[in-house]
Amino acid sequence: MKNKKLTILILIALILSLMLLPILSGCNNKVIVLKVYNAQDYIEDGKESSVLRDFEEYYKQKTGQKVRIQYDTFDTLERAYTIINKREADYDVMCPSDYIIEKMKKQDLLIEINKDKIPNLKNIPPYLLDRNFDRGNQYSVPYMWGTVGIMYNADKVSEEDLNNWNLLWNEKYKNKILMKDSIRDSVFIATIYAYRKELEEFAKTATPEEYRDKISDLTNNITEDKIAKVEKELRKQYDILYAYEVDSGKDSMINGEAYVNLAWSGDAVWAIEEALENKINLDYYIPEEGSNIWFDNWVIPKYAKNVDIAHEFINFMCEPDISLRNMDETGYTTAVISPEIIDYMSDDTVDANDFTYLFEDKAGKISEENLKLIQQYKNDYGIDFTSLQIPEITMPSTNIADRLVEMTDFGEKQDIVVKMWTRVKALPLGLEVKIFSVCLLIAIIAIIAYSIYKKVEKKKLVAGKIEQLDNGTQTPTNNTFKTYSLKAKEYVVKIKYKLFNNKHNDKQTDSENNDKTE
Amino acid sequence: MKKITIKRKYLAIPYAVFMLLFVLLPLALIVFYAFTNADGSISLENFINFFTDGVTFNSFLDSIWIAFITTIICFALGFPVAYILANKKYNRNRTLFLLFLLPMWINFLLRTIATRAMFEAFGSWFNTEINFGKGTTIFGMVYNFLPFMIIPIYSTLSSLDKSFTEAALDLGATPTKVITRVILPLALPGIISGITMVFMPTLSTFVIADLLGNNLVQLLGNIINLEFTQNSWNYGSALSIILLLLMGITMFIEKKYNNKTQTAGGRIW
Repeated sequence: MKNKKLTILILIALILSLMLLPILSGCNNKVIVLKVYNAQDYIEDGKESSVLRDFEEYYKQKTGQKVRIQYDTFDTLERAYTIINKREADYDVMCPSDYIIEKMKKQDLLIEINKDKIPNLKNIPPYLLDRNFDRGNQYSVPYMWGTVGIMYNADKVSEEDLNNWNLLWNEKYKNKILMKDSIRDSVFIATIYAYRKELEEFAKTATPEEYRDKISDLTNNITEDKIAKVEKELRKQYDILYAYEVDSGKDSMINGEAYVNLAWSGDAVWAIEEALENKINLDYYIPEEGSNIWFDNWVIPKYAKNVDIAHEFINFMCEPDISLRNMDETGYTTAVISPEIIDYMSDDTVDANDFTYLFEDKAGKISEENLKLIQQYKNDYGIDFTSLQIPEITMPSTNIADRLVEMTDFGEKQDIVVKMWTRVKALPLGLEVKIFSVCLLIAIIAIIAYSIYKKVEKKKLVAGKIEQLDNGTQTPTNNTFKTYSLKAKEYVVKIKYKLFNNKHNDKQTDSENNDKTE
Repeated sequence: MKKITIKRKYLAIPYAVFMLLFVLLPLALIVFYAFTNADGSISLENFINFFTDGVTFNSFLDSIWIAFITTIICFALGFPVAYILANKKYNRNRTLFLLFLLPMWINFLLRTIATRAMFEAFGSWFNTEINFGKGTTIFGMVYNFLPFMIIPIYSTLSSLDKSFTEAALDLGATPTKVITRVILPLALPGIISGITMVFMPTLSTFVIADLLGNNLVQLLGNIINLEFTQNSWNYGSALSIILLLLMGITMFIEKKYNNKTQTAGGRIW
């Protein structure tokens, strides 16, 4: 007995010490956890090679400090924003889109980036820096960028319908058109479409910069008039749509269920590749009226605990080879430029284009330094930025690039836009629904009226009875009732008595029987 | 020293704590959000909006209508099935009943996605275009919630005393009269709980409308979802409260009715 107890005690002690072991060993060389928050499937993180593991390795070699990356993903940016805003988590690095960065900046949720710690910022061309949502890149460093355009089935859509946004409203492709179930993108595009005639007029006289400012003004300064106009267009489109989608649209296009889709460039890259297996030719273009350019930038949220390592991580992500791996994995265009990346993006089958706009600053000038860089590319790697064969899906060509505008946060107008969106999607009430609701209303009123009527009647009856009793005028019928009830009571008592007796007798006989058997 | 004894009622404490934290507290939060506006001051704005913005109320009526249609179809399909299943002749060892329960073991999201794939397959086989919309949404709802109609009716019918029908037949009732005058009234508790079991979830669901309606059908659930994802929690909470109230009323009616009619049939819900 005692031995058994002893062995159990020893066993417990052993298990406990085993459990303590890792904690004790951890004391000598503490592992820092870097919390990274990003969209799903938005980084190279496979089993064989992962940029996250490589960073851990890199950091250990550089500083001797062990770092473990906790990599979490979010579904929607709005949710991610809420998590940071309500301080539900303390992420060190996060990768939100432009308008969320703007919103976070306004709410004072970001830590300023120390540019000295990110020397790799030089790998990012000026076109992608110093954007409206974050002037001077005080708070963010570009990770990926892209455009919004139309993905279409090249076999089904005829060529004359391409080149502008009208394709999304073209009745020829009724029930074959997909629109984004994302208020921001859809409203942005519908605004450009709604004002297409004005824009066309304007383009005749305006400089590229003026035109860009015009689009920016149209899409980002929301007024009631604009909303009404946009609603009309979206409502018109609703009738010819196959679906509103966010993610499923790619599949519908690959399966050939739909022919036209409002798409993000990175998604389109993936879909075009996949569709080839189904022998469906998909293609992508950015309409000439202008479109949206978006950025996903690295930021450091306010509640970050490892700001230094976060900087190190962001810098690491701007390394050309790491960027190339991320681009290869996700299909999105990386913000970093290097000879290898340009090589990777190039495609012999497309026409050559001028991509020097990448090095232009806001005023449209190329700095001395960058001119040298362009020259260096030409001399050392044979890369001539004035004629590169890069498809539009990866990088927009010059004339389109001038017409790309980023979205700003809706701000206070958010409510109006959401309301408009629900109005667009609201089905007009059918006749059957109207009849049904009227019937329902009548039924409810009838039930309530009936129950009230019943209650009132009951009250009246009771009141009448009480009055009768008070007056002492008892009708003969009441008398007879009383006598009858008395008689009934007598009977009940008698029957009960009899039943009791019977039972008692039964028990007695039972016990007698038992006695006999014993 | 006072001896601490474990009474049986103490075993309920974990559940009570759970209820408090995850049922009552969130509910209180919803009520709080519903009666405040975006600035955090108390107002009835959200409820006024519900009636006046011209969209939400329509979607609300639409939701009721779709739930109503779904319930009627479910009843029309479910009652005969339950009646047949309750007959021991066809449903020996309850195998047939189990077969009807089987789909419920699969996750409902998977089932809905599968329904979608099925429609697409039909479309390509028969070379017809299937327009995802209201019709497919109702189909998906009927498909998903049919077992909830069958099970309660089945359980009342199977515990029904067979001698009632025999007596009715002996006394000269025609088979249709037996069903309308004897079986239907006796199965009423089951039918009513079946109706509530179908009506309530169809009123609030939004995933089926999203998947099978291609996001083109907008029910009240979808609006609530949208409001919450767009961070306007106040209006979303107000709509949730309205939905909750409606469900409360349905439950109340069901309970009142079931207390009145106590029959031989048992209830499982």
